[in-house]
Amino acid sequence: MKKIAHIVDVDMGYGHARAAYALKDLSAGEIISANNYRGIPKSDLNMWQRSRKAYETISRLKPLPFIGDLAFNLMDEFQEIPAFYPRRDLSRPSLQLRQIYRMIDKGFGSHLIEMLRNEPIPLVTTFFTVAFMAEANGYPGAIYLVTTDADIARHWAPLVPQRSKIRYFAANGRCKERLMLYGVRESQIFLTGFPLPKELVGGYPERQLQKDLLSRICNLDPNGIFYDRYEKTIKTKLGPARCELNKTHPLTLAFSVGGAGAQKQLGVDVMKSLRREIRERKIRLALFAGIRTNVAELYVDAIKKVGLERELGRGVIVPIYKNRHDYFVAFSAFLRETDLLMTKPSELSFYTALGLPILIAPPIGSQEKFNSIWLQYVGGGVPMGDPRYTNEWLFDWLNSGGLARMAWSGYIEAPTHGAYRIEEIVAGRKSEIHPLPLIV
Amino acid sequence: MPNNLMPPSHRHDQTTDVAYIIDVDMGYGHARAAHSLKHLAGGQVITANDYQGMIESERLTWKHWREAYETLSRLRPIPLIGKIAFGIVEKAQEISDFYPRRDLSKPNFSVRQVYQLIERRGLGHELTQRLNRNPKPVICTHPVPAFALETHGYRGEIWCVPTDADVARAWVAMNPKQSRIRYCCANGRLVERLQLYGVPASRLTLTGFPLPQELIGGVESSVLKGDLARRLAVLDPNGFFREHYQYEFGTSAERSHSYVSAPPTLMYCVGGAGAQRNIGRQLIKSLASRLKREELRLILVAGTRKDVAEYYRQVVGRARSVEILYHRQRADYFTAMNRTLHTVDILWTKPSELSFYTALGLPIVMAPPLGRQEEFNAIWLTQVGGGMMQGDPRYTHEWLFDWLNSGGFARAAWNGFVEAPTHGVYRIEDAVLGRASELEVPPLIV
Repeated sequence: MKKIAHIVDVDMGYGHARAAYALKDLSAGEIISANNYRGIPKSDLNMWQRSRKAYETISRLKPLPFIGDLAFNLMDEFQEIPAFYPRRDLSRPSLQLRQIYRMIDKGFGSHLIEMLRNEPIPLVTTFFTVAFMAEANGYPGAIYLVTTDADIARHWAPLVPQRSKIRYFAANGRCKERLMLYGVRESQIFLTGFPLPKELVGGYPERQLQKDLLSRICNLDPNGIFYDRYEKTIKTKLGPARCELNKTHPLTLAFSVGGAGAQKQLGVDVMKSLRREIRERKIRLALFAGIRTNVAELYVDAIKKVGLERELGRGVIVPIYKNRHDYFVAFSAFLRETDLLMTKPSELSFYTALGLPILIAPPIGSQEKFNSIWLQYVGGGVPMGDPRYTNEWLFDWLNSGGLARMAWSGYIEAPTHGAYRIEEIVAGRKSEIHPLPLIV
Repeated sequence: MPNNLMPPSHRHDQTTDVAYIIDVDMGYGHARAAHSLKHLAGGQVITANDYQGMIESERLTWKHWREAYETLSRLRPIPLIGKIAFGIVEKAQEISDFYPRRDLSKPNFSVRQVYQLIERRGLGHELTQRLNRNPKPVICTHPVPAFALETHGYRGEIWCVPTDADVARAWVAMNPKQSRIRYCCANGRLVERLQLYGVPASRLTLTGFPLPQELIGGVESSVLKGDLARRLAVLDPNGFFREHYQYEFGTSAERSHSYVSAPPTLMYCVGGAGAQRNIGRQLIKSLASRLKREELRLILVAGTRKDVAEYYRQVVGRARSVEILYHRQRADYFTAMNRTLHTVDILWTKPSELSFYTALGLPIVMAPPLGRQEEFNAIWLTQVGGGMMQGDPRYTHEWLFDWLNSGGFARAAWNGFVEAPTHGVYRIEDAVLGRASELEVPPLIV
């Protein structure tokens, strides 16, 4: 596909980058990181680094008793998402938003926008500050902002939303309504769904997804309880499940939670609890460390300590990648043979739409709490049990067909074609994909 | 939802007077289950703490036992003392974490205390003698009468029907391995939990909670399917849900398309204590305009509490589309409630025994749970997908209609129907009569 838009993310956690990765076809594969591109002025780099460091430091403090909670709650307060009901005018800018605009007024981001202006095609960004920069600096092309959570704070909408030309790609219905409470005009908001990797969807209709889901249901419903109940629907939508033919991989759990202290321990506890089942080839566990070598090393050490060394690379996998792009490519590939995703309710919550049941690790921050509510509302996820007894509750849920039902609910209820809808809107094509209902 | 019915070798509409049904007058949970089973006892329910001809000493023993808990619970608002008192109650009703699976058979304080009353003060002795004149299987919806009957040498079979999705050690006899009490379990977790308490698997039957027959309509669920078809049309005004699941519905879906979408009926059945009444008042206020425009019908359940009915009457005033359900007698209240439930589309309740009513294809809006067993019911209901936690009652007019318009309630109604066991009452009948059931064995959903 030829380049029809700039895709801009930030190198700050995986949320914004993961959404951008799924849209890379729009920019012929080129993704610009606003805080880490070639030629970024020193002053901008410093500005980004300061805010990133503050965020990461506070996140890392989180596991510390008292101080960690205090610091995190203070930061969370700034990013707080107010209660949705009663619907009311929430357009008054927050302190954080004013601060962002003060920085932009001082020239923050003007270099990036000048650079993009050379090719004034639509700009699609997954980070709000970039959209504000573009508008403030008079970017001549269309400006699109992709929301990356199921509910968002005031700083996702511009200072004066009523007059802004920024258009939104909302990940879900609640996001669309929330933006309207923040003052964004309805005509500026497209309800598209979160952009999921196209290689996992496979077009419209979603052939790849259906094939993978059928194989997954075979693993997730060992006693056929779910299949018995939904046989007609499954056959009509996915075709007959001949598990001896459809089965492509062993039952696989991917753990992708992040690298902060308590979260690493979660992965270790899960692995320890499942050690017997891993040895007996009842389950394969992938501990994703992303691009963080130190986390991967910790996992490998823990695996050796519990005597699973011989299973490394087979029953238990610890993939590690040089850069985010490689990680996203490989993660997508691995998800095709993953049956269960254990994650914080981050942007990965939306991956339930791929027919992946999500075992929800404890949320961190307001937006993750909302993601968790959304995930449970669509029926695609459930809070994980005590990690030390994963070997018990996980197999109980599996044997009762509950996890297969979650895979199915996620597929049916959560939006699957975000990347395609976004592509068609940016290209100005009329979409053949069904419009999304305003599921809250 | 039975998929694979075996050919019927017996009927369920002719069984009468084959068992004794025993409940206790203590909240609605035990009585509601008993009411659904009363046809097995010729329509009679014996209330163990309040039956005709009961000797006074026994009545007093029950009263003291009950009052001890009620007094402790009532002390709750008093600083310090209340906390200690409520701690005792909580301890007695404690349900330990399920995982890791381990031996939890050691009797707790509550069990020991009950056995003292039975053995030393003769609790249930008179009732046992009375029933021994014509021993039949006895089905108890409260554990204490079951323990008493066993201890005092009842000659018939003793069955016990727990009324929550997970229960405390107090539901199991002092010596569970030697006891002959059999259990009819509402869900899979209960079967497993009772085994942790020491009950052998051979004495556990996974039946599902006994729901009212008049709301099911036989093993084919004919009444239920009719009600559900009508309800789905109401709960899915934009057709989102039916579009997704049209292949699965079969008759229910086809029939639901023939219904015209009508305003939904919400039943608020939360209880009468102070805070709960207040929620009722808030929701009436919030829904006032919707009720006036006849966009919703509201049924406020006062149960057998006259004071609650009076309170609701005052709050409601002349509001349209609101009804108050009140009856002096429990049996009349249950009968009226069951009749009304045909027309109800959304049930707002604490996650009590009414959680199981989601199996009738009723979406449940959950009020905050009270006590450990209700917390577990709430987890079960969420896992089954039949219920969701209430929003802020002050803004019911917003969130309730958002959920409705997005098809969320229709999905919860369907999940409840498909995932939760519907035919408890028939399975219990088959189990107690010792005959093979034509109904499928429900899977061990946890």
